[in-house]
Amino acid sequence: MSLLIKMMYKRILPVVLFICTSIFAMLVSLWWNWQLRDIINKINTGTHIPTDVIIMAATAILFSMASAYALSLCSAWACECMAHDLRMGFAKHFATLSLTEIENISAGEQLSKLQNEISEVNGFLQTNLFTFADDIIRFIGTFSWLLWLDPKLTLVSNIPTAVLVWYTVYTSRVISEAAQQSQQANGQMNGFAGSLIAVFPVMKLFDAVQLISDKYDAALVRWERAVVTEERRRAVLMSLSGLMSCSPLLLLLLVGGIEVIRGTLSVGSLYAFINLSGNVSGAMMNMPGRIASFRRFAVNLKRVEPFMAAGFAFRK
Amino acid sequence: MGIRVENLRYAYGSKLVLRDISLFVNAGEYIGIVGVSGCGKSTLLKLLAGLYQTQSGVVEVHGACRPEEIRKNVAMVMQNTVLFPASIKENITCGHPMSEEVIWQACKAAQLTEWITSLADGIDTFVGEQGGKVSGGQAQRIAIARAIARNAPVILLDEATSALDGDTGSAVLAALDSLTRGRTVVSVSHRHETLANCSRIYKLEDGRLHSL
Repeated sequence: MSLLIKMMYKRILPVVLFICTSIFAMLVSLWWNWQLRDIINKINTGTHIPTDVIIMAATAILFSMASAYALSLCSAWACECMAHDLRMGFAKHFATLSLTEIENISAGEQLSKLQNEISEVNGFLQTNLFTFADDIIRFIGTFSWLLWLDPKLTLVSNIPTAVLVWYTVYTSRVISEAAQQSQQANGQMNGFAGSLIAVFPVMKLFDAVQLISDKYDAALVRWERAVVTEERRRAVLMSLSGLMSCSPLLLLLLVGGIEVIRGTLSVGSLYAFINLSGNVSGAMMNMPGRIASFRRFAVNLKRVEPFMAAGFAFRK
Repeated sequence: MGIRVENLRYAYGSKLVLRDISLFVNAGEYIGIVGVSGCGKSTLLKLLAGLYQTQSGVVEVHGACRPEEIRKNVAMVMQNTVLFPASIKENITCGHPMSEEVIWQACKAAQLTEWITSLADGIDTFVGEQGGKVSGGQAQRIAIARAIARNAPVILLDEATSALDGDTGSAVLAALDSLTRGRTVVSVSHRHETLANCSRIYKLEDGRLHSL
């Protein structure tokens, strides 16, 4: 994880800008929902909607669009900078090696590292890391706002969230272990394939083709089994997680609906709750997958960390 | 039987590295070839090992002329020892059926017994990808044990003693002594002093062999 901190520290400006934009986007979203709640309540009671309220709502929509655009721009900028640093860090590592060390490097192994670990870290940075961070910011902000708006409804509709959190931690651990095993098996298989070029003369001289062929087949079977196990576990755990994630919305409709019928909650507030439930339960629904990919990312990051020392040295 | 090389020429594309090489090594003789890096020593050794097909001239090793037959009579130890991603035992046997006695004799001659018995998995210990889980000296001694277990009449050493140091070095030298005793040996090196045991030493320069 220290490598991730170093990468973020090196690109502190885009990272901070992204966090600020994400907080701003979340606040704009809450502001828009506040406007929407008022408009719905006014329509529901047959009250005239003043022009300034309409203008304010339109402004909120414009701000919301602008903040979404700024958010994707900031995250893409930060991602690209960090991905570039990662690739350059790997390249710098080779540039700092001595001739003897370079001679002893297995080209296949390094290529495999580039194709697997680094490209997976790269992929996570570009598709998951900042979405994950944005989800967390939205979750905290929205949950706090809903809690302030109606503590009872917020807590009741999100009780299953606690179960989901526990389940998320459990599934991500199981998926991560399976992912680690399949990665190890993949690394072994690639390392094996990479070493074939080096062992070829000895293999030919000592007539060891059958031995190597059997060993490679065994590595291939181990990798295949590990991947199948990982995918099977992921499918079972994730599908159950998806099913469980519907319960907060169902509870929201049930409890919120009863409150509206009893007159203790306005229709506008219930609409805002439903509208924003994605920020809470939606984030939770994606959490097992996100945490599992984060753990996978952490494993990959740990594997490439020794190769990044030259590229990510702290300057005092 | 020994080794007979006559008018051997070998080129990588248009670059001629060996020109009209002729060499006769008697059975049981230990000869050395010295030369600077890139002069063609390893190419000559690979031709003697049957790893390369001759382009012109004759290479006869222990009565065999075809590469696949030559390889049966030869064992080779290199400076950058390459181990298979397998156990110590499999690295010695190369997957061929071999009695436990032969394997352990090879280990003993290669000064490996003490180290192997100290390992939790003993002779079945996995050496890692490209021998990553064993030290350079241990890897070289495993390669020597492999060559001993092969029991080939001709031994080829490619810079086998060039990167030795301290205690590991003496163990490898003792192992090499066991390997080469009573066999036909061709040892190549870029350093003259590592060929002290040789009865004859040649210098490979400009693709030609010169007796020293």
